[in-house]
Amino acid sequence: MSWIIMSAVVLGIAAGIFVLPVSLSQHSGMFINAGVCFLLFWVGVDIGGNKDSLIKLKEYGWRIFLIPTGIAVGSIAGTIAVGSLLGYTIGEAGAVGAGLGWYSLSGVLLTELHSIRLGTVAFVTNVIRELIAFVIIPVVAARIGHIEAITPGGSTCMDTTLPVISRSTGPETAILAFLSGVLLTAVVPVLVSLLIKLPF
Amino acid sequence: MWLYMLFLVFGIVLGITGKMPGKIAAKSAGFQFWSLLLILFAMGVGIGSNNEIIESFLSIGLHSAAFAAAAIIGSLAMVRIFRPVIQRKREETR
Repeated sequence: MSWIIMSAVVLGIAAGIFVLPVSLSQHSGMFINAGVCFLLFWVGVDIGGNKDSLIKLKEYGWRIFLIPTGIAVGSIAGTIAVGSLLGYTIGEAGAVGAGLGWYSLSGVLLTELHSIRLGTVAFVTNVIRELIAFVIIPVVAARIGHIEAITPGGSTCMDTTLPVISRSTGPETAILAFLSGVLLTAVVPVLVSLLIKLPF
Repeated sequence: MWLYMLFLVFGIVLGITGKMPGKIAAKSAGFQFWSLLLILFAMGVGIGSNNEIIESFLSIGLHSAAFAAAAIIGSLAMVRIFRPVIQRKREETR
């Protein structure tokens, strides 16, 4: 699965650079949006058809929130640790991690609130995070655990990486991933704005 | 986000009520697989056709790759730490 995913992205990048005219490739966002809607509909059919998974959700209770909390705290702590080695301040590195995979928003926010360079770092970091997530989700699901497979995608597990999570785990984890993605998407603008204001 | 939610919820409702014909529902995995590949291809096209992204990849790619890896490892580690608490709750309620 990981190799097929990687091949599709690499072929797309190659087509975007060498083959497709700009007039066509500039509409890729529209295709992605339509495709994600189509995909989510079928993921929904799978979840709805598996009623046990919806009933099992109640068993988690408030502990469902530990998943997005762990993803947010872990992402920010990880980027702060690496950022301190690369010469970034805690606020800069934390704000990059707080993008949680939402590259367009974190890139724009940090360009406006800090600098073009940090905005670009956030943008590329979160693009790379999404690409890595596509490849490692099946591996994490098989070797570490289904709940852990939600983590690489961050906020994207409510849309683009959700189908990969669903295929690699099952309907129960898919709905946990979607809820986690919705919550993370809601907190990205708040976390990025707060962290970049840190004076250290 | 709301549009995505709408499609997901619509699918869930059709799945729960059983309104989706069995023959079509059985092809769900295939629909998901091929549309996922098309989305990934389109995402690649979006990256490849954007000179700004390609140049950014080359100039700050190493820093960004390190940040991305650290964010993933950090979130994986935290959820791994929380996992016994999440699982304990499930076992208690059985």
